[in-house]
Formats: sequence, structure tokens, C-alpha cells
Amino acid sequence: MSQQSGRWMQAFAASAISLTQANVWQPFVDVYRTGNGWLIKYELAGVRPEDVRLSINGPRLTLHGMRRDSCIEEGCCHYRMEISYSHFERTIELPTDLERATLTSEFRHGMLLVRVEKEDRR
Amino acid sequence: MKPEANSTLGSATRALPVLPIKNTVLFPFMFIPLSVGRASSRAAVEAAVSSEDKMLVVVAQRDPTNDQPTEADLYSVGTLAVIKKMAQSADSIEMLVQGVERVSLQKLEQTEPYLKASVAAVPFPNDRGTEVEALHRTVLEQATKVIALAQPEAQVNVQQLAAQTAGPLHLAYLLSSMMGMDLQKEQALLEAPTIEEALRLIHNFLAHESQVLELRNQIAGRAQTEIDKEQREYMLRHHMQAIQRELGETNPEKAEVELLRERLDQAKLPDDIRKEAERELRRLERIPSASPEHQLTSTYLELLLELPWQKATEDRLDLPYAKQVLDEDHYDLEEIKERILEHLAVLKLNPQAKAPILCFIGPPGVGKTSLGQSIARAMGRKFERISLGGMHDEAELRGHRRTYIGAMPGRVLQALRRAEVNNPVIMLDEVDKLGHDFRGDPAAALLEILDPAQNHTFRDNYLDLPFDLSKVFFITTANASDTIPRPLLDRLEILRLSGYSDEEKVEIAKRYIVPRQLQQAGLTAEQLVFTDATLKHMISRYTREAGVRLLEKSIGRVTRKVAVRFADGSKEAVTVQPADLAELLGPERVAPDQVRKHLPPGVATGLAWTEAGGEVLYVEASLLLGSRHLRLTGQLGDVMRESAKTAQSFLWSHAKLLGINPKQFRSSGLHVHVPAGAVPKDGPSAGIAMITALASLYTDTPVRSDTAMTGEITLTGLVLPIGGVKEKVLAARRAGIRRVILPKDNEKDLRELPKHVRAEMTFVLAETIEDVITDALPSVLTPALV
Repeated sequence: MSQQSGRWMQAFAASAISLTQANVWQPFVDVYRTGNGWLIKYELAGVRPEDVRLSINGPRLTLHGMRRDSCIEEGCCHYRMEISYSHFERTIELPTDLERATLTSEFRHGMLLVRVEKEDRR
Repeated sequence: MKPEANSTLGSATRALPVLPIKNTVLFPFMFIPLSVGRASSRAAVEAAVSSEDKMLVVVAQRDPTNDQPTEADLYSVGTLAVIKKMAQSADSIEMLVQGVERVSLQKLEQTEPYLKASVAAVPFPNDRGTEVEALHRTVLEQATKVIALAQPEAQVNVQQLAAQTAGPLHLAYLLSSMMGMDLQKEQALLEAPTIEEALRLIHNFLAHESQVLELRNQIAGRAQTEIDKEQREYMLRHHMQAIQRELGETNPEKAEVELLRERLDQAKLPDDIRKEAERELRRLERIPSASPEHQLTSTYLELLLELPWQKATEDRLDLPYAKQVLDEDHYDLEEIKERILEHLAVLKLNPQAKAPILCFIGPPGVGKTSLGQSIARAMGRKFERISLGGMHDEAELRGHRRTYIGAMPGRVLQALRRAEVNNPVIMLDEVDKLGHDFRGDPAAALLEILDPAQNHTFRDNYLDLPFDLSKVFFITTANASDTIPRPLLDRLEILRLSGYSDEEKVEIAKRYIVPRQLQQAGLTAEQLVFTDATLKHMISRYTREAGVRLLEKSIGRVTRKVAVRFADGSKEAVTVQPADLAELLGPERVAPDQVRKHLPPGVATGLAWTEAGGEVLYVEASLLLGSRHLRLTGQLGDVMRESAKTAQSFLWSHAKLLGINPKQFRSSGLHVHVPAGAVPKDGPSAGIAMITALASLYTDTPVRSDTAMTGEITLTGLVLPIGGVKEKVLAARRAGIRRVILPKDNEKDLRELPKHVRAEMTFVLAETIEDVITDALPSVLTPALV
């Protein structure tokens, strides 16, 4: 077995851990704890708000969407590409029942902020 | 999430840029960094990144060396891939792509500026079952093993890895990418129609891989073991030394040196030798025992200590005792016994007297070697024997210098070391059979050893210190004196042991041989008796030799045959009669010498000396009319041929006196033959026999048949003395001849003959050729010659 494959093994081990369907990318995410709930911050620069869709399923919060490569035009071509385009999807799990929480979202400076507030127990 | 269930393309067909890659296959879900250099490939990549979903199709090309692959050069199944990142530089594009799903190339849409093909998804297989499950588990185990073997330090947990894969197919793709299978197998895996097939492929590969790796580890392990073993030994030695030090045991080298020092202190050495020995010992202490020098030096020291520098046996200077011993062991040999007694007498009066160096010359079996032993016994000295026969290297006698590997002291010093005294009797056997070659001449070394004037400081090359050999009683033996180098012969005191007469042999047999053989066979003198007549018969008809070696063997055979009878239970004493010998020893071996009763003209009876005793021989001559050559046959040596020519010349020049017509010499050639033709002969002593034969031929008168003759001739007609008189006379007597013509100067040798022989024989002593012819051919002589 060559040394090369040894290096590759590491690469694949890493990739296997973040395995999802291969043709979607995952935006980075920060999750904050707040006084009465959670604040989730998605890094979604260049994504149009109408291309984003949030769904909930029990404790799971899933973000779907796509980032369009808006610069594409005739005679123009990537010289370097580091930004992920096309479909993305990100699912996070929170220790709370989202069905009974209030979700609000806003876009600010290229970030999507999702605020989760537990419902008051009356 | 089940990748098998999803398809990005669905059932649609799409036209996508195609990127041919070399040497590898991109599997779905797998990331692969690619470097693109070809213009067409760069165009394909640029087209892909310019599309919304950054997709292209990655296909392996069959021949990695082909830079312009066409549709036929590509496999028909490829992988749909997404470009994750890319960066261009002046001459290539680096990018990271991830496989999505496998697709089949349906139709090539364009080839310029890049390949573009319409592709359709090949759905992931979805077979399940115990077979797949079993294979899946086996592959997991194998993978664990192979990874452990290949990269023990990588710490990859295959089980964990497998848990994160999306199913057996994904695992197969992952393992295949990790292990780096060859292209054909990778492609086959990509195209596998069922999961089972895919797992089987990876299973076979892993099985092979694990075998190879095990073998590799075994080989590497073996090399490692060898190194480990050496290291272990080294460590153990160190431990041993440490333990010995702890226990107060000195190391073995030290012990050896101490031992040698003790021996040195006790040994009686001359001062200068002791000084040398101590120097060597100090040197030895400094040399590590592992060094070959160590062994060399300690061997040398041992020799130094073992040599008898000052140790000597005390001579038994008792003349009557010595005489008794010599007489006990040997019959007759009066001259030699006398010589030995003389020496003992001298030693008695002057203990510092130098020992003579004797040389016994005589035919084999006359007792030369055993005589040496009895001399040693008579004098009360030790006896050592060195055989010089065939020795051809000076270093054998004088030793090799110590610089040479395997150097040893010479034979002389070795003999002294064995004897443990510095005054043994050393017998140098077969001194006439020394050889010599480019390595030197042992005879030259013998010169020093045997010269009483210089052998008190004999220097052996190995010892490299002077050793005194002057106390050693050297005796040399030889069969003939003519092959002994002249300077060596000068230093020796020659004592000739000639052959024994039949009567002497009977005495020897009765006194020494028969008792000895009886004892060896376990018989008593009463059980087996040999009569004199029997012994005589045995000597004359079963042996023909100067010594008694064959006689002893024959007697031995008889005693053994008789011993068999006694062993079988016979009680009857046996007396062997001559008639019994045919039964005991077989038919007679030796026919009595054929005496020619009547000699035709041209034949004379000569006498020859051989190493085995004397012989009677005939010289035959005949005229060759019409020829003028002198022809000589019968294996004659140069000296003998010359004496034939001398004889002819003498007769020619004295033709008148003998009444020979001188014309005969010119009108006819001459042929001289001496039988037996197969035995080489040489020497001048047949001279008078030749001239008698020729005189008889030219005068047509037969020679007296009862007379044998021996003597050298000169051209002027003198008869010169010859050697071996005793053997020759005995041979003539054995053949029944009672008259012998001898040179006058050999008269003194007749004293050697036993009295009864002298009484029986008639000797004619000749001074000139006339004397010979007068006796052998009485009728031819003209009065003028007389």
C-alpha cells in the first residue's frame, strides 16, 4: 500500500464524518444560548432570502436553500472557486421541542439569524 | 439517508462536460483532488464551474498515456461529480471534486473545445440478503487486519469508519479509495451491478493484500530477529563479565596469563630464554583475547616452556650392557655395534664429546630403523624418528616464521618437544629421498642441523632463538648413497648394512623372527617348530631380498595358519618341513637363478648390484654384418653404454694381440643386449663382462660358464674397483657359481663375507683386462699379450 493512500485515508476519514448527500453543501452555523431560548446564526452570504426555506421536525431544525452563482455570464469564468454554490442543507438538533416554540428569522449582513423562544408556561 | 435511494439526475438524461482522468476512478461520495493540465480538460472544468450546479462527469481513461482520449478510450461508466473548490494557475487547474453518483455515457455531444456527453444515471444497486451481510462483515474484519498490518501507527478504527458509512456499497468505495486498487479493479467496482458483486471484489483484493503484507512483515521480522540475537549475545557477555567481577573471579584471559607465568617460574630456562619468555608474556597480557595475535603468542610461549632447554636423560655408559642389548636385537652387524660401543667409551671418558652423526646405508629390510631403536635402548636415551621421505620444503625442518598464519616449529624441534629431553636419539629416515622445489631445499637445512660445529646454535624460524642440538644423537638412514647431496654426505659417518646371506637369514629367522612371530600368534616354541631346512627353503624359494622383511611376512603367514589349527582344538605340536610349505604358503615364488650351463661365443656372466641385493646378469653380443653401428639394448643407462663403447674401442686397438682381424670392426656392426630387457640398468661395473663378451664374440670362443665377473674398465686396460661386492658374491653363490673375477682393489671387501662363503668360493683378482681374459678365455691369448 503506497504512502499516498495513507494520506488519503485521513482525507476520507474526515469526509466520511461529515457525510451527507454529496451534491449539497452545508453552511457553517453558530448556536447561542439566550435567556429563554436559542439563537442560531447561519453563514449565508450571497443567498437570496427567497431561496431559503426552514422546516422543523420535533427537536430538529433543517435549513434548505441554494446559493446562486450570480456572476455567471457569457465570457466570464472562475479563476478560483472557494465558495460553495448550488443547493445547501443543514440540520441541527436542539434539546427542546421546536413544535412548541416560536421561531423568528431575519437576514443581517449576510447572516441568517433564527431566534427560537420557548413558549411561556402558563 | 440512503444514497442508494436517491438520484440527483433522476431518470433524466443530461449533457455535461466530461473530464477524463488517469490511473484512478472517482467513486460516489468520495472526495478527490485533481490537477488538470490538458487544454480540453481545462475547458471542461471551466464550463462546469460556470454552470449553476458546478457538475461534470469524471471518467477514467483506459490508457493513462493517451493525452487526447476519444470516446473509445474512455470507460462507458463514469461518475457525476461536483466541483467543491478550484483554483487556476498559469498552466493547470487544481480542484477538489466529490463524486455524486455513477452515470453511463450515452452519447458524445461534442469533442471541441471539450468533451461533452449526455449521461444517464445508473442507479445504485439495492440487493440485500444474508450473503451481502456476511460479506460485509468479512470485509470489515479483513480491512481491520490489513490496515493494522500496513500502517500499525495510523490508528484508523475501521469499525467506527464503517458505522459512519451509508451502507456496504459506500464502505466498499471508501476501502477501495483508501487501499489504492489498480484501475481495472476500481472500474469493475464502480460498474458492479450488485452490492454483492462489489463486496466480493473488495473482499478478494483485501485477501490478497493481507497475504502480501503478512509476508512482508515476516521478511522484515526475520531481519530484525537476527539483529536482536547479536545484540542479546553482546549484552549477555557484558553481564557475564560484570557478574565475574562481582564474584571476584578474574577474567579467563588473565587466568591464562597467570597460568603461563606460573609455569614460567617453575620451568628451568637459560637466562636469555627466560628474558625472552617474559617479554612475550608481558606482550600477551596487553593483547585482547579476541585478537588472533593472542592465540599466536600463547602458543609460542607454550612451545618455549615445553622445549627441553636443559633437561636431559643420563646416559647409561655401561659397555657390557650396551653390547648385550645390541646383540639381543640384531644378528651380526659387527662393524656397527663396534662403532656404537666406541662412542659410548668416548662419552665415558669425555662427557662433552660431540655425538657422531651416523648414516646407515643399506637395502630395505636389513634393520636400519630398528638398529636406531636399539642404539637408543643401549644408551638409555629416548628415541624419536623423523621421516624425510618426500619432504620438499625447507620450512618443514626449520619451521615457518611466526608472521605466517598457522606457523609451526620444524620437525626437529617438534621431535625434541615430544622427547622432552635434549639428548634423544633422533633418526632421520630416508635421507636419500629428500625432494626439493622452489620453496627451498630441505637438504640445506639438514646441513646445519647435522653439522656438529654449528648445530649447538640451531635457529628454528618459528622459535627464533638458538637451540642446542649438539647433544642429540642423530642417525640417518638411506637405501643408496648416490642420491644424498654431497655436502651432506661429507658430514655423515657412513655405515653400510649390506644384505644378508641365506645362512645369516636362517640365523636371524631362528633367533629373532620366529620367536617374535610365535609370540604374536600366541603360540609357544613347542607348538610350532621350523627346521633349518624349512627356513632355508623358505628363504630361497619364497623370498628374494637383501633384508628379511618378506621372510618375516612369510613366517608370519605360516604361524597364523598353524595358530588356526590350535584354535580349532588341535593339541598336536607342528614341525614344519620344507614339503609342507607348498600347502602353507602356496606355490614357490622364486625360481632359482637360471645358470646357463653352456655359453655360446659372445655371452659373458656379469654381476649387478641393486637396492634389493645382488643379481647375476648376462651380457650378450652379436655381430651385424654389413652394418657399422653399435647397438645397445636392455634399458642401459649412459654409464653402461659408455663402458660398452670403451670395451669395443679397447678390443679394436688391441685386435692384434687377441688375434682378431681388425677388418671385422669395419665390416660389421655390433649389438650388445643385457637381459632382462624390462629392468633398467646402469653403472660401470659390467665393464669386464662386456669386454669378455666382445672378445669371445670376435674370437669365436666361448667364455667359461662357471665364472661370473664384475669390474670397471678403462681404455688403457686397467680394471677399477666397484661397490657392492658382498651382495654380488652372494648373488653369484645363490646362482650356483663358485668362481668370481673381481678387481684387485676390491680384495679388502672380501672380509665382509661370512667365512664359510669365503671358503667355498674361488676369487680371481684382476688388475688389468689381460688378467680377465687370461682367466675367462684362456685359449685366445697370444703369447705376445702375456
